[in-house]
Amino acid sequence: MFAVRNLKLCTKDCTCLYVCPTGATATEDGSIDASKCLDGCRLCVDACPSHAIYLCYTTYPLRPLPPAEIAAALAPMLAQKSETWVRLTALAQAESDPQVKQLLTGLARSVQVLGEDCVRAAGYLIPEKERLQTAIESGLLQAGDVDPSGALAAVGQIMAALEQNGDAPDVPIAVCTQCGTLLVDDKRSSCPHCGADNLGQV
Amino acid sequence: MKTLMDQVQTRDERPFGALSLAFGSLAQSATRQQRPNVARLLSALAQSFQIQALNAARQEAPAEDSAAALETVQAQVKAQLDGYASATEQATQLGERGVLRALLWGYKVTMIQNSLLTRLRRQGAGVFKEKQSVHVCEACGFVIVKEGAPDICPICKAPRQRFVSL
Repeated sequence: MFAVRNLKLCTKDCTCLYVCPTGATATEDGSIDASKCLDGCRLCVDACPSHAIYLCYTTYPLRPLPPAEIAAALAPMLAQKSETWVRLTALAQAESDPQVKQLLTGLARSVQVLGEDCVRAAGYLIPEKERLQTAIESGLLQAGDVDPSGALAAVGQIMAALEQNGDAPDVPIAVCTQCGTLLVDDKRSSCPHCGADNLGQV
Repeated sequence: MKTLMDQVQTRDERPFGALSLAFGSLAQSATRQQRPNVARLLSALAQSFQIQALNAARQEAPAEDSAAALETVQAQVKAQLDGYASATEQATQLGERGVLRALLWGYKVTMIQNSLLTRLRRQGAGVFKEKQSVHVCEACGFVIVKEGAPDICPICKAPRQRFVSL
């Protein structure tokens, strides 16, 4: 685990600077240097009068899924929410009146939050390699009409990062706004699947 | 995730929308885990599946006019209210407090979505008074048309900072 500072709460009392044995808390940009932070030390966490520092874990035990009845109840709700979300998003995109567009976008966002609640309540709170493994093996990522190699590369990098209990490398990621093809660490400026040249950088 | 998606039945049986929501939720979680590049990859997967979902939906119903489409959306939202009742009973019987919390707030927010849809269909842009805009609580989905976001979310009590103002 390593310490992280929440800059919204930090009041610059700087007691974390006094107590840190390695100087991890003394950076120029307000972050705490995780490479210097001592696992489990927590002197800065306990010293901060504004409770602005918290501990972030690097390893997470695999969470058991909730009872099967819960997933069975949530799955149709997730299906309904996602369908409504897609419809509202499409309506918002097609709408010309800016206020109606804004309300449709807000409703879509609201439905999105409720759909995400269903995903989390079904047990998918954090990225876990065991759970993502089943998604890969099931062929879900190849269910679309687009070339899935970008999506598979993305999941591969995520799995490797989770395996190392760290982050993925910083590589360019692009999504074709026309067809949804993913390009990971790929320098092409047009979509290999549909030829469109409006690639959104992520 | 296969077990959850297996049970998600969509009209064309390819759960792009649900996959997008799942990857989007996991992306937010990865950000909180201080894994920004994992978050970008998950977010890209979410965007990819959202675009595929939108394309599939447009192919299936290209000619529907917006009034009819809004009627369908409101019918779906109303149907979801019934789903909450049965899921809430399940969760109560099993003692799943975390799930219950999401269901109780979700039910209230869905009621609000329904009432906003009624007003939108009746009044169009007339829903907005002067200087009003749309605000959504990112914690629970509460949505309101107001001048400025509320100080506290009436559903989940999150502070104003948790609202996104469109």
